[in-house]
Amino acid sequence: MRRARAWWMRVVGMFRRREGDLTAEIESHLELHIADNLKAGMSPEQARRAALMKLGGVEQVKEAYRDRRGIPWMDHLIQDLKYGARQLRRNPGFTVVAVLSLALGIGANTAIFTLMDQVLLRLLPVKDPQALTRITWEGQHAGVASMGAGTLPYPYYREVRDRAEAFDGVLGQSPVELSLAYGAHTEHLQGELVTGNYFEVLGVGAAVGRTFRAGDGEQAGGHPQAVLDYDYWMERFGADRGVVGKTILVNNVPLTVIGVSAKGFVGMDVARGAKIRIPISMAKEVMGSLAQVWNLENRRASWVEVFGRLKPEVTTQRAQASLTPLLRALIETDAPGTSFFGGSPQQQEYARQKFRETYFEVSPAARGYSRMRTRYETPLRVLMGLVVLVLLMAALNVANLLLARGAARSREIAVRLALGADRWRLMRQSLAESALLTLLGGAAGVALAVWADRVLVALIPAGDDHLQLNTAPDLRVLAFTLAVCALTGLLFGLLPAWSAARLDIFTTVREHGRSGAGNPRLRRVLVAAQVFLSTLLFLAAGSFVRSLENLKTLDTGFRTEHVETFSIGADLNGYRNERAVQYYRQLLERLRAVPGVSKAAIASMRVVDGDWWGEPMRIEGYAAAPGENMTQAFNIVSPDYFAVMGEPLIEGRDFQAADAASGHGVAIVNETFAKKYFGGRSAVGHMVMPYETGVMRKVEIVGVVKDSRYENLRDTPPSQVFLDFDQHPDPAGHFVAVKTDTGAMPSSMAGSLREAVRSIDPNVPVFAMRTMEEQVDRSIATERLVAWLAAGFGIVAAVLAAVGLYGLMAFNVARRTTEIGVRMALGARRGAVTWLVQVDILRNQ
Amino acid sequence: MADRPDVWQGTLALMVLKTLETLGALHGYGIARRIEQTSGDLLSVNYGTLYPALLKLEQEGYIAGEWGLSENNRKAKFYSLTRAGRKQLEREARQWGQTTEIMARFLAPGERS
Repeated sequence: MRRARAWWMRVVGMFRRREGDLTAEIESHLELHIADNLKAGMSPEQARRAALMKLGGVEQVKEAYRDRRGIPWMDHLIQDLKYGARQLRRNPGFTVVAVLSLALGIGANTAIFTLMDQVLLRLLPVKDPQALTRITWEGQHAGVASMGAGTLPYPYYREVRDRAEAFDGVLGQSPVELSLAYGAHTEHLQGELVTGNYFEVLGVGAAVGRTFRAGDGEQAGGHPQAVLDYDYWMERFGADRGVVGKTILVNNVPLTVIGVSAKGFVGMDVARGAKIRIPISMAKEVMGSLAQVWNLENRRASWVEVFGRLKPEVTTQRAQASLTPLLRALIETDAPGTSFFGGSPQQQEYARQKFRETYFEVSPAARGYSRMRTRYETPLRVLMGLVVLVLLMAALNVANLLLARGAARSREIAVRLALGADRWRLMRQSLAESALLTLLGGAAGVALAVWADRVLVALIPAGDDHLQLNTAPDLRVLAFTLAVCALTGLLFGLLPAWSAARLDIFTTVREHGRSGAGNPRLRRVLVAAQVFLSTLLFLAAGSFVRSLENLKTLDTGFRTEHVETFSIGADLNGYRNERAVQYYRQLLERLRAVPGVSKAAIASMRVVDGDWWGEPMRIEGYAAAPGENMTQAFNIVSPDYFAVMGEPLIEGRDFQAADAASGHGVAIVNETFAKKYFGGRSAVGHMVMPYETGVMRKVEIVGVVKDSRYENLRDTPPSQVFLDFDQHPDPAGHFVAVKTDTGAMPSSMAGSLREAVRSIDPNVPVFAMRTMEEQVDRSIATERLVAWLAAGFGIVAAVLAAVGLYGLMAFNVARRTTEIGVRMALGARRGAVTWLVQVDILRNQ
Repeated sequence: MADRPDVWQGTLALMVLKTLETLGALHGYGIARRIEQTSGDLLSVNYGTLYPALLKLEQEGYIAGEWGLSENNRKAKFYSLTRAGRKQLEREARQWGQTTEIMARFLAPGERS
């Protein structure tokens, strides 16, 4: 207590120096003593001398007193910082270059780290995230329609939830795209179907109202409720508490908002950013278009992402082992009765065997789970590596500048040393200056990073929305930046500090700072390192730019000129079966009537947008080997689709209006399909049997279309099968493409296309309106981003290296001014002198 | 002068507190003189070392300083004991007593065991 008080007084004493009081006290002491001495009979002079001797020197007493008054090392630190600040103010050019270098380096690191942290590193903001695990179903389970890798059928989930003893709670969720109507406004957004115990298992509460309770997910169709995401509630509903209890229309199903989830909680998939959560028991009602899949009793459709909270002391291995007998029992129930798709009895037996070999895997999920993570992990790590190089460059650069400055000040330092300055103190002064520089650079860097992240996130495409990432730096990021600053500061500060402390007084003073100072060899090494690093960065940038160019010049298989596209979600607004058929017929008619549109077509899935739709198929006339993967890339397209997309038919014909009414199922396959399954023979006329989401149909191949890219630009086209949109009894069109007249700019058509859709039903949301060129561009956005960033970092590195080299040479030349003067006086020509300097520069490389 | 032991920091504080208890408010010079006299001139206080010690006691809150006029009408800073200072003096004096007692027993002749 007393000690704390004393320390506090000393801290106060650092800022409240009562020098006047101290002087007065000592003077009064001397006066009293002198007066006594005089009384004792000394002469005035003697009296004063004796008093001073007894005191032990006025200045010494004052110094001892001052050390006690404040905290000496802090006093010194403040002095050093003030001194450093003065030095920086005196050399504005140097300061600006150094701070800018550091700001670039630190800013780039902070920016990339912010993204990396959120995508890869951060723990979920839930109760005890370390105990969370993901439970996936691995292996080949043919005959089960899968809506995502590792998902479980709902009955399997229920079994795990109720019987697995290794877990304190097991939740299920499924990502869905929804159309949400409230007031006069309808929008398309990401949502999640969640089990009733979802919030309880995660330990996430409600900001307003309440969340779901364990029983809420049980009775199919029984819980027409919804919980809003906090950020979405802020943004869309203006943080209106009154929204609780109101009814919203989700896919035309009225749901009551019962609450808003806690602030900061974004779900298990940080990048998906689900805006609304609905009880999984409402799946069939809300997602009706694939009623067979969204069925809580369907054991043949897996669509539930399952997460479990481990009991204390239980490892993932033990949990996984404990699930094995559970799955065995499920499989033994299902394996015999299931019609395993696959044709011959051998194939069926093979598929059954594979089904028996499937297993549950338990993996840590403290950081949640995101498909985006796998997609961006490598680019982010590569970028992080690049920015570390850039920071290293910046640090070397500042070290170099500081060394040059130190060299220029070597005489001053030598004089101070000669006057008895403490070398350690000189070193500390130099370090204090570095610390100031880093802090300035760090502050500028953070500002730069916030801006850079905003731009970056806007440039990364993710589905229809931008990534749901937060670009504001939080404490974690600031701590990271501070650590980076400290490391950088030490890195570039130690060298000059050390070289200042080792300065040889005598040589320096004698030689008037002409040579020796600043350790030119060290500086040469630094510059060489910079040149090396910038070359490295340039090489990296070069390879990224090249692979980007390769993607850009690649033959996509479709012609992108004069094609405008957009997405709609009429099925989410209740257009099903006959109504859907009517709707799309009307839609295409209206679109064709828009001035400037020459052709219009619709497909179920947008191409080169990261989506994949696979359907297992039987092909008549082709004997599949046991276990051969017969899954074909799938799409359902209307007549004219290939004409709009500029994909020529190389054999047979396109779908025709007459097909719709004919009752004879038709299909078109791509070149790869034809080659793979029919070799040299013609594919036209053969029958294929797609097992489309549970329903098998027999259709005849009527045409072969040229290959085109499917999921993205990188992968070569898979074997594809297209069905006729007009023949589908319950079509769901999501991707509309129109070919415009050569005179019209496709992007200028957006307004009239939107109007055409609205004229049928204003509640059907239109989104992702973009030209096909933009679509292709988007699909390589990640590559482009990495390439641009790498190139940018390369340029920054080159500039830094140039600054470093210039600094070194300018300093070298300045040092040799006298020598050069003498040479010229003796008749050396300008050219010879320039040559001399150039050779020196080259020697530095 | 050289053969007289210097007063070391720890005991100096105790002496200062005791002096102030005995004599009441006193200025630095007075405290120094008093300590020297009480010790029978056996101890030499380098007067300068007194001031940091006074400052330390003041920071710890055992003494309080106030400007006033000396007996011969000179301006001087007078120190006086605070309540905390009184307690501290009691505590330290007791400890010091114990220490000396132990040392005395230890060094007493004829009690070797």
